[in-house]
Amino acid sequence: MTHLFVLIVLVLLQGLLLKGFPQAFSLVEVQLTLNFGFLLLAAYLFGEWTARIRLPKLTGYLFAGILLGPDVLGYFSRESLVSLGFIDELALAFIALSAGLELRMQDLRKQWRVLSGLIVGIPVTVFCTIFSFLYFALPQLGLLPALPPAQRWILAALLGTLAIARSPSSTLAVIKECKARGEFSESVLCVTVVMDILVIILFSLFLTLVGATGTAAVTHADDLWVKIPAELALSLLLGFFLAWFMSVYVKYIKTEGIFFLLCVAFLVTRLTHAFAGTSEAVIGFSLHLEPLLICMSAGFFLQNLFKKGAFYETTIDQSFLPIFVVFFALAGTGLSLEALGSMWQWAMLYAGIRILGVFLACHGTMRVLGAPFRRGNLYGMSFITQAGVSIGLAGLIPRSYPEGGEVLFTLLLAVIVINQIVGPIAFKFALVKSGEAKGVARKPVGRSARS
Amino acid sequence: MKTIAAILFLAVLALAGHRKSFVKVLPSRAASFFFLTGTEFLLVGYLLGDSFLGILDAATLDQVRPFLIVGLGWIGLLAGIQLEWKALGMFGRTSYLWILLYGCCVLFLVSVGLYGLFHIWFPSDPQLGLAVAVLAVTALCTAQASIALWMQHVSKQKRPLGLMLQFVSSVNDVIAIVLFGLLVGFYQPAQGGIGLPLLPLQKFVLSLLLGALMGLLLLILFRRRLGEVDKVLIVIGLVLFGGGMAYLLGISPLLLHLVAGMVLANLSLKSEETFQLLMCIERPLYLIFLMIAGAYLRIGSPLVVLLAVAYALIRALSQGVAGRVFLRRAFPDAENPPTRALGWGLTSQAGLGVALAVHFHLWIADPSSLPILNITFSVLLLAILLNELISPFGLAYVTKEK
Repeated sequence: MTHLFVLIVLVLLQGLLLKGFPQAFSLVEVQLTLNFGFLLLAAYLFGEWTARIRLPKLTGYLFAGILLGPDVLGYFSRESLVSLGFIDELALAFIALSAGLELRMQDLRKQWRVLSGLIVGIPVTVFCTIFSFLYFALPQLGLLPALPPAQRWILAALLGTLAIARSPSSTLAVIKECKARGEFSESVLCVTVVMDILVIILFSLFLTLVGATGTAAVTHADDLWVKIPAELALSLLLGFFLAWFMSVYVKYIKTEGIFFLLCVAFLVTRLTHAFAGTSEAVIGFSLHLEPLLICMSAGFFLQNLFKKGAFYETTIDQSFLPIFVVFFALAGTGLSLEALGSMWQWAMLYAGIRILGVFLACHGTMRVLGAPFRRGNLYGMSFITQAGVSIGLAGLIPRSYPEGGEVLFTLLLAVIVINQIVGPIAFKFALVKSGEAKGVARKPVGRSARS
Repeated sequence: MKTIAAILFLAVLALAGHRKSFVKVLPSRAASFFFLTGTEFLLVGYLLGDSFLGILDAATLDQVRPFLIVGLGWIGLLAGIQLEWKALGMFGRTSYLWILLYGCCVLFLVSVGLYGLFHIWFPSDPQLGLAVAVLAVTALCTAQASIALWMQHVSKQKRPLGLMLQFVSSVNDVIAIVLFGLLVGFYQPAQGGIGLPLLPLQKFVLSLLLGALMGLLLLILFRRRLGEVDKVLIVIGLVLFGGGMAYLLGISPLLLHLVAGMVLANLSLKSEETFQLLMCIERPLYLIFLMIAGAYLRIGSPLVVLLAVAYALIRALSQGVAGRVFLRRAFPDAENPPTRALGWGLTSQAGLGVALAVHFHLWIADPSSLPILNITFSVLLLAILLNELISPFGLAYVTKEK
């Protein structure tokens, strides 16, 4: 009740100010203080409310973003959200670093069979399921103009690759919220992270083929063979140096951790932006370093090579809540309800087939490994989420397919909205069922509850 | 934006360097005191600003204005949360009257002195009154942290003196924030499209009401059992929201958050926890705040230096005189009555002084405004640096052993 009261007061105040000073909301001072504060508090209060009904807080943050965003109540215009973009980037760097820190080699080695099984099984099965569905069903759907078989093949492959993408940030947010610790949560996070890297490589590969078949507006198709490995290698290298620098900081200074991490996140995001421009001037084409990969690998090296992860884990634990709240609330404001509304039937079908593929993969892998059937269900529920990387890669499709690409992009956005809403709920449920969710009081069910 | 990365990076280096070397290496206690209070970051900011390196140029400074607004809110909340009636009543009610009289006397003496001085260079400037008023109100501020730092190195018998100084300082800080809140009400914000067309008193009352509302919201949210991370989020969120609201309405975020802090301090059982929470984040926030303020500093003409020196001297003399007359009477029940020179111990001005200077710069003066206002801002910042340099001598004089 108290949360609801505070939320109503804040919404009323913000509404009054928005009505009284409509022009002033374009000022960066107002956007980065009033708007940002309002989003932070409203999303937090929403998250607390969803936690009460046993849904992940992350779902509440997303709903707050959707509700207050441009598609529903319009408290945040699309223009005003641009100025909050750098906060989003900072949050992503924090989250990626945290994800890297969570990956401990000694623990992962113990379950290498499960990990390798899932890392191979999920991409192959999901890719094949989506690929065959789209290759054969796409002409029947009437969403795109008729394409020659070769191009239809590549498009289906691109979309199949996108279906493999997961959301490390959502996975980590639910793990942190549930205070989950154990083999199951670690394996889910590891597989999620690896699959994101795999998706980036595969997607670039298929985009190169799009260029080669002459359909697309991809201009540097040949460069991609050099570009992608170079970008990945440089990102990993930078991650290594960052980890070394951060370990030196722990060794000699070890103070003001949050402040230092903020600087690191800022430096990484700004350096990657600057690097793209510089590389274009020097080598003729721009190399986009991936901040997500840099921070993730830095976290991984810090934890496993330099053995200085504990300090940063504690620091991030002290500050993760505001970061997650902002990140997912902003993600919520970006989710397009318009897209979902316009093609919800196709999106539901697409999402359903993808989930089916995930479950098939998990059950198949567990069966091969001789694990119980239940384990396959738990893993299946854990790999539904989709977010940032998927949206980013989906945005490249209209560029490669000017005719009908926008329709496909809308469809993909709608699918991502569904996965992003359903995914965290299913994953939290799986964590609770696995018994690793220490931060969630388990409600007695069935007979024991009645007795 | 790369400049922001640069300043943050430099801040870490500076902070780390300051922690690891300066404080231990510096031979003089006065010099190490200067570094302990973090005032050197004003100079770091000045070096990074347009006057020297140009890393923090005008465009970048425009982008970090939101940070300054949040910083003001944070400082206001921190000041307010320390104003618990129970704790403030330890010296008796009459002491308030004497401290109030002391404040009025400082205000009067500084105003008269500065009016005379400024009148020489700006005889018919319409903003002369405002410039003098801002400097006079800021003269009331004293950095409590500096007093606390100094008192760590004096004998136990002298410790009650530190409490007295901090008490006077906290009361004067409230007077300064309230007066500044009133002053802000007289001026429409420099930026167009914002600010309510209300009378100054109405704006003042609005600040109090909104501050009380923010305090109540904090109180309501803190009633539940919350983790530390949740509390940090709530405080950050409300400071951002309150700061933005104050900016939009053209009222003082310092006053608004001071009231919010006071509500929390006096109605919540967890105010001490909240204070500790605010203090955890205070230092890095404060250092960045100082650096950005320093980047705004312009010491182009010798007049600024001259006026700053004159202001620092007039302020110190006024504090000495007013302290001699009123402060001794403020603590009649004290076991060891303070010396007549108590006012000399209040010369350190950093913290709230910088906050008021920045507040003045953001709300009233801007680069396009009249030269007198820009000079006033620079005089204020430079005088704060000077006051930090002379304050150890004042404190040493007050706390010297008989």
